[in-house]
Amino acid sequence: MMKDESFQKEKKSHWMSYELRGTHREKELQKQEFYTSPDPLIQKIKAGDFDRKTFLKFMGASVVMTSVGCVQKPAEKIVPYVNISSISNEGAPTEQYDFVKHGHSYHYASVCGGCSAGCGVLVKARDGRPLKLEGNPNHPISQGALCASGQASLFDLYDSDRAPEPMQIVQGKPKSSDWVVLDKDVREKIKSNAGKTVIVTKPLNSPTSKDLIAEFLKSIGGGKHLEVGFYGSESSIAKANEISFGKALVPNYHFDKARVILSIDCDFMGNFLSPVEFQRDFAKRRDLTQSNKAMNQFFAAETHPTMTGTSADQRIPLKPGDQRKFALVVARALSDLGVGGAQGVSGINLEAAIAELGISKDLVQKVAKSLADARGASLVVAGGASAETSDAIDLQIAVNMLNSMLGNDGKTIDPVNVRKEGKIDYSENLSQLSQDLKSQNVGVLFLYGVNVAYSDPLGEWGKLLHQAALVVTVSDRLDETAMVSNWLAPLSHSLEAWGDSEPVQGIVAIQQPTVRPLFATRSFEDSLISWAGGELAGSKNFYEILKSKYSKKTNWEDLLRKGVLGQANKSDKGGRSFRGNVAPLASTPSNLTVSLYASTALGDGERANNSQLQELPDPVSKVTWDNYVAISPQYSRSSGLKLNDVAKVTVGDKSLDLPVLVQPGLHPEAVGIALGYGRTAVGGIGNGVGQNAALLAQGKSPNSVYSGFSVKLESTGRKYKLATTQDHHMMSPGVLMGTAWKERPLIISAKLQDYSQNGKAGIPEPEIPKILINGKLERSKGANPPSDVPGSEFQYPGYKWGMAVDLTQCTGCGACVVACNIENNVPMVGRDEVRMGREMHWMRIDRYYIGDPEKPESLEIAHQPLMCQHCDNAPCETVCPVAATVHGSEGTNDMVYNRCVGTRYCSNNCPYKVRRFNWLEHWNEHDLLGGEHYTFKAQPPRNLGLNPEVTVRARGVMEKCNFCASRVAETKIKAKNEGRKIKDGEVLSACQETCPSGAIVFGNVNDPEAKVAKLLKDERSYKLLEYLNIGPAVSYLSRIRNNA
Amino acid sequence: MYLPKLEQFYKHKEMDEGVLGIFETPEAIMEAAEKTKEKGYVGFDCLLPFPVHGIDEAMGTPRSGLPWVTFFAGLFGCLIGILFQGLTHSYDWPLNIAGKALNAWYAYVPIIFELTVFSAGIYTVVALLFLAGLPSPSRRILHKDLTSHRFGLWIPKSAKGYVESDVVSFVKGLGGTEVTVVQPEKQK
Amino acid sequence: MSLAQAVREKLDIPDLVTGGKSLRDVTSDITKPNEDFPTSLWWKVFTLVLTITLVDVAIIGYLFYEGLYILGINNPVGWGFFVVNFVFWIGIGHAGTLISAVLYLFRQGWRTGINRAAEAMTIFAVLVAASNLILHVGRPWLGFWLFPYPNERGPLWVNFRSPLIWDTFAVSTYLSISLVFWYIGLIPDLASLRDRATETWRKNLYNVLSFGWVGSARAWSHLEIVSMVLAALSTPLVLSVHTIVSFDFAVSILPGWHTTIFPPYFVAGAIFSGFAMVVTLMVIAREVFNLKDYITPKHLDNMNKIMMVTGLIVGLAYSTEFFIAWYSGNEYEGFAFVNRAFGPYGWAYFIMISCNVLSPQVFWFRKLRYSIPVMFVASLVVNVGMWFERFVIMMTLHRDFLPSSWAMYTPTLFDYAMLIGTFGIFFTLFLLWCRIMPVIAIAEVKTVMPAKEGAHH
Repeated sequence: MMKDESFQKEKKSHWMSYELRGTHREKELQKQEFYTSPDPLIQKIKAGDFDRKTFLKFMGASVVMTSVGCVQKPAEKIVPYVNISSISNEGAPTEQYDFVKHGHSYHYASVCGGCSAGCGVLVKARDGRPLKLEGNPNHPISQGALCASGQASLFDLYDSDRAPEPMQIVQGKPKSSDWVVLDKDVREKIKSNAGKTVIVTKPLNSPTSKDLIAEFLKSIGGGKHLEVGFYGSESSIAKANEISFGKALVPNYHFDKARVILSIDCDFMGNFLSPVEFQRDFAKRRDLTQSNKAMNQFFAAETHPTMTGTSADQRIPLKPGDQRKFALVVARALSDLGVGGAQGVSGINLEAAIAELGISKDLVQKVAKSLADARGASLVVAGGASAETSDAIDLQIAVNMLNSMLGNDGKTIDPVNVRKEGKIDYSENLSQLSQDLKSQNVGVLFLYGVNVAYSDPLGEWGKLLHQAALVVTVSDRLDETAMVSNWLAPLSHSLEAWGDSEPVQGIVAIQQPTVRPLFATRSFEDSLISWAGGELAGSKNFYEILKSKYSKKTNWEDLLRKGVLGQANKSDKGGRSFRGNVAPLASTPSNLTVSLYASTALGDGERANNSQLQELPDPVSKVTWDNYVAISPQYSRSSGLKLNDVAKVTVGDKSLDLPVLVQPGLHPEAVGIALGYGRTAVGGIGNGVGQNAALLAQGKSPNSVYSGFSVKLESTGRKYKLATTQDHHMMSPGVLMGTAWKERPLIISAKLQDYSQNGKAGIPEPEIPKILINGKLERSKGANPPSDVPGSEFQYPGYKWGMAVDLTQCTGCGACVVACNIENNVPMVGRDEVRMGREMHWMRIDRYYIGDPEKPESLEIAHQPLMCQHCDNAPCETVCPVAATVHGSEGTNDMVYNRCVGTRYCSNNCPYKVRRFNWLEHWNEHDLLGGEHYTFKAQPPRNLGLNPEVTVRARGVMEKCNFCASRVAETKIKAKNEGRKIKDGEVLSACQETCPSGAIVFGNVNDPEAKVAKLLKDERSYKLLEYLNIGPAVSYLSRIRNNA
Repeated sequence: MYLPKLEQFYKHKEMDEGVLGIFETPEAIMEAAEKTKEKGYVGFDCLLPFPVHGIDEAMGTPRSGLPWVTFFAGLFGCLIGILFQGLTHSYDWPLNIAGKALNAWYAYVPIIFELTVFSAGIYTVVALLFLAGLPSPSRRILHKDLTSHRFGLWIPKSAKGYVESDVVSFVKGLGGTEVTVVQPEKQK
Repeated sequence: MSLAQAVREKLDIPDLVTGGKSLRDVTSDITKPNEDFPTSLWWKVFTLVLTITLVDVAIIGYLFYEGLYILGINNPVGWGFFVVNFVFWIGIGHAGTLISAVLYLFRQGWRTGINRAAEAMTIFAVLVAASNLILHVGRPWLGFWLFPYPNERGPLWVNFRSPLIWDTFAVSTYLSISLVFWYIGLIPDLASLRDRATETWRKNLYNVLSFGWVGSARAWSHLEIVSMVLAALSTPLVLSVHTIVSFDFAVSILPGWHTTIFPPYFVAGAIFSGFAMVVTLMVIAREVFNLKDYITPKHLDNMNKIMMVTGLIVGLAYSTEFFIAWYSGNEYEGFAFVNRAFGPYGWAYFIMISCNVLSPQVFWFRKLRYSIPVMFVASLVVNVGMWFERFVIMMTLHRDFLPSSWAMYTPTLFDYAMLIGTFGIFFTLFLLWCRIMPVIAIAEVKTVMPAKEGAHH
């Protein structure tokens, strides 16, 4: 600031007021900023009435209005998430956001729209754009985790193939229209066909929506509401419960309470009811670092190697159709062990039945014994498409019997806080609908979230639907059903609309929108309201209905803040007794039988246009971008069908041409085919990917039997190259020309009892070369030697980031992969490039088979998540000519994209091959030859979903996992502003945050209290390829299996 | 001890005025060179289509000093190699590359060697061009066969005791088949 | 008499120039191809290779535009045909230097017939190799970043620990040294061309190219010394260059690459393939340019002997690798080599063995050593074999430590096109050079003419 005297001496000085020149007042003014401005606002600021904070408040508020607020007027306020822990005395949170800062990201509690499980999520939004989904830690279902499809559901929001506006379909040709016309048409038709309105919806877990639909039907003078779901087992379970216990319901399962678990063809961590919850509960008993070493024991009897099955202690390959026989055999074996309560099994000849099953007797007895030893703390489950055999209900009854024999009912099975209650019969509903349609008995038909034309390809819905006066498909895109209906009412994404969910009785969560609808879309509920005439239940929109409803129970804003209300806390009366009625065994077809299963990634195929899911490798086969017919090695030999042969799969009079995949671990007479493929009207990415296996489904129309019927395979002589990210290699690849080498110590497995005797069971001493240090031979310390060792220039005194991956807990579900992709803008490359071996996933999950493929019983399947190991002496760094990859001051191996020339030497020299090269300009349109990958460019609105924290890489540069450097930086800034160091668990890597089994732990290894530091010291921890002495920062905890 | 001497770095002298005698065989030119040296016409030269071995002794020109250039240039390159790599990695831009020591000198050896060879070779050639007075495309050609199969003896006007008639007869006496007196080109 | 003559008489080596040529004949014979209008044969060959070159250039343009995804390389196999070609051509180049430098130091008179062409071959081969090195990077337009140049982003240098930087220095040094060595040798011959020239344009052209050389004895003695100095520099240089090329692999940690045998093994391989290429070119040149009197069977016989010896060295290296792989007892190392021989790319390995180890054995027999067709075929076979040797080494990438990341490498049409293109560029340059500069070192040949040369006039 100019000094007073100089101010006077300086002739040239610029001055503003003669009076004030050089006076005391002048100096006062100069002390304040803006002192030259005559602006009244500034006057206010000077007066202190209006400080900068207030100003920012106004600004922030306006940001809320403009960017984060929702579409309907008046603006509906949404409230950022605040962790309960920071809320004192349940209710008024200590910290609140009154405004949103531009350029900062905030989390909003909402509900995941990925599937019907209704996980509570936190949506990370920045400047009004949802960028990432995480599990809501306060939500009892998701418990802070999220599955692969949940993570990927963000991509559906930014899907360029969504319907941007209402469309009228005239003779199969869609033409753009708008809501006014649609609403008018619907209202008229409703009036003209009063009482004959039918609303078909997917299984809803939103109580308010159900009430609203009832309300709607009432207001328009009656109609039907039918729920329809596909590939699930809810119907069978409900019916079986009705028969067994007299009350139709779908109970809740508590895997965390179960010490012994027997799943009969139930992919409960992949595709059954509530995968995230079940996986999280299951993994709780696999955490060997906890003091209680009560590790659970898991038997997976399955007709097809599922992701769930891979984490079993003992896999039992079944022939499709034998599921129930197996259940009864186990029941029989139990009763032989003196466990009472068995019915209808006395007639079973154990030996004969076991022989028919094609499994060893002692295996069955092992299962029975373990179950019997854990009465009341065991759990038997069956379900999923592949369990939907012709006797699916009897299978569920058998399961109920087993559970009540073991006294699990009311302990590991919760029949009180149920998932669903009352009569649930989806296929019955569907056939009723077709009956009504045939008999011209349907006025206006609303189809919400049910793609009948695709999911039930044999139902001839194309013809049927025209029997209705008006068919309105409520869907986010012009899908197969919409094409054969009259109207498409475009649906908002769950991140664009209000809603609530109650997946389990008592657990209510609010689905909070975080962005205006990108297109002219509406939520189903809002559509209903306007079709009812603009007002329903005294409210003009669904938001008001929800708000008024929940304001009665609690503080609305706190509810939004926390996202979840209440717990499943109805105490269990347990008054259920098994009534029996176990049907006698039917014989399964002697020849090859098939099981159709819902794949882990695509499920029922609703989100087939999601490149994240299409390119997520199958947990077991590692195949992307196609479904295939999986056959056993034995059958492959006898039939001569090999990998990539195209086989004609014939069931009755229907047949499909599918590429063959030889899948170790299958029952010799089993065949598996994934459902959810072969979409024809889903969008540029998903159209024509694979074949729709539902065509092969059996049972009375509509088809309800997906497993256990005989199938015929014959070669077509054609070839089709499946895009796999991994070939099928055994753990010891050295067996080649009869030359066997030592098995590679990559995945280290041990039996539980060995482990309990020796914590380091199975972990070999790494052969690190000794070097001469201070005159004596020592194991060379590597990059970070103690200061007395020469060449100790590089210490990491501050943070040193490290990671630990527990192979005992990892289930290989792939949630981490998708989370990583979305967090780091990892491009999807498409089938052609995957075939070339050019997938860009920064993180992959290595799958290894252990054991003899000829004995599927003994075959184990192991997973190993692999990301950049951030070696202290990274081989990649030495060889980079331009120093584009160097070591950071926090022990990370940093990649400098701008400097990279693209020699790919680093990738060649990486023993883990975790580096990824940008073969293409993945994010821009430019391609002379065309080719498949063009679909994955960031065409609008996909580009809105890119994470602004992470650079989008150009063609010709190398990239790789960076330990979520962006997250670390964000947290460091936060900590710095608060003048402290980062607390342990404050910064989570994307893979860690989403992992449903908590297998991945990331943190600062310099902090002895940090979880990761403790894990690195754990006895089980070992480094991959340690003998190379490159000092990886990632440790693996050996894979313990509880198979005594 | 063998030290570089100045006369080893003799330069090619331009031939604008003097006497040129043509000889037919290497043997003839060798003999002629011997004689001319004895006669004492300092600064005379021979024009040869190929390096006739032994002509240097005959003419009494010392061994070329260019290897000295090679030696010192090589030394220079070596030094550059050591300093450049060492300084950039240890001081100017110290980076943690694979945890290797900053001054990992053994990794610098290949480039040190290459730089040595490079500077030695290139400087030597530069020196050669300088001493041989190349390139000078404007240089005049005395006789077109001298680069093919005939040999020339050149006695410049500057030579000690140069008397044109004597020189001509002297060269003739040596057995020069064609003897011509070369006059300086007049500037056009 | 010249030292060369003395040596020749002592060892009773047959004359290196036959047909009783005079000095004048030598000049006119050798410069004839440069002065006549090209023969139709030359035109045919030239149009062929030029077409290949142009196609290649077009593909390079497309490569720049589209990126490397048009090639067959993928995640485990990051280096494919381009690096194979690079090593292959560098190896070819080495023979030239050896012939001109090493044989010069050993006063091998017979080299004079071939050294000039061999040096030219070196330069063109190194150019082709370097181009492959630049093109195979992801962002070729930033290739200059591999040189440590002063910049305002500073401090920003290169990583001198990386073998690729060693490569950069080695190759550029090698190129420049070979270039000057080759050119100072050319200067006197260009001068002869200049003095023979009748048309003015030709005179001016060669006047410029020959730097105005007049053949003063003083200049000659300097030039002689410098040639010797450069020969002495090139000999270790050529060894160092291929040693460093082998470091690209030996310095990595990959099983099958990380072996100390690579430097000698690569150098031997380089000499091997280089001499094979020289034989191929010489056999063609002496036919096409009718230089049978200057490139006699004696020359070729000598080179065949060298081919056989180096072939045996290479064979020894192959077997040593296997022994050590087994002896190390390291599962990864051992598997890498079993996989090399019996894995999916075993066929390439056996092509390599049969071409490089078996085929040169024919040269045990003098008759075959002197038979032009036999040596021509054998040299071609060896070239193929040496290319496959580099391919086999590159394919070590396809199965390394983690079985999960194993994959196959299938070259695309573009890879093959680029491979053919390298030959196109090479021969285009070579043929053009044959037109404008003498393929044989005129002055040097004259020094090794039989006694009493040029006496009769």
